[in-house]
Amino acid sequence: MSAQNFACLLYRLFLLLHPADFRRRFGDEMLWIFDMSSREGQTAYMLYDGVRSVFMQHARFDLQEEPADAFCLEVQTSGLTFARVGQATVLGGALLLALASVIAREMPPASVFNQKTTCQQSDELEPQANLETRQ
Amino acid sequence: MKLSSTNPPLSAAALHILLALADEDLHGYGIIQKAARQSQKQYRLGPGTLYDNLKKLMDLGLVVDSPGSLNSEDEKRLYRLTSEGRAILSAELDRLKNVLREAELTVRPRRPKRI
Repeated sequence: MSAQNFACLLYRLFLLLHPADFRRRFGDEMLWIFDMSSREGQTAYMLYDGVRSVFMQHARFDLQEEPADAFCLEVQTSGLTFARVGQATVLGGALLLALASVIAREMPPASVFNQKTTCQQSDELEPQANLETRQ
Repeated sequence: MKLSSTNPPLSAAALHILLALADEDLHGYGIIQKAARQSQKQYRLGPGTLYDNLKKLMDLGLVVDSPGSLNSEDEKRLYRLTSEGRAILSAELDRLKNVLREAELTVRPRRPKRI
């Protein structure tokens, strides 16, 4: 899977996390704009905007809900629905996945870790032998 | 939305959207491109921010779907500024002109006092 496809998949995921009404109304257009903007090299900004939009939409959705009759210090658990927890889990997972893919790209190859050279051993090795192990 | 002198200032995104739609109907991507042009690419509008603001403006009756674009499925939806939206935009531009005038008077370097 290319980086572009992965980014597109991630953006679709972010779209899924938007409130259903907003998604039905603007989802296709947002995806189209993501495709157009990605061709101009703005993929990272589009992903950032997608995440920000998810939070903005849900924050607004929460504010629009009628406040419960409760004291100020009472914890309102009604807003923490199963769907909300699921969405947060998926969003967190997607972000972790993106982070992992970035880290994996930066990591050195596995062969580097397979070399059993400790500090003590490397001191004992002759310079010529040390070169051989690197090759 | 009633037009009055006490209207709160528009957000940067809302201002750019209304400004982009002032002289022609545009689809979402067109609005983004025009907003970038208007600000010499200093202000970037993402689709999330665009449609979040567009939805608010449509709920307030300042922007509507262009009637022609709703009939054809192939073409993208176009958005149109209403007369109320135009009045709000005009009021906001007047407000900004006043701010600029005040700013110029305040920031202008003072002459040193003669002793």
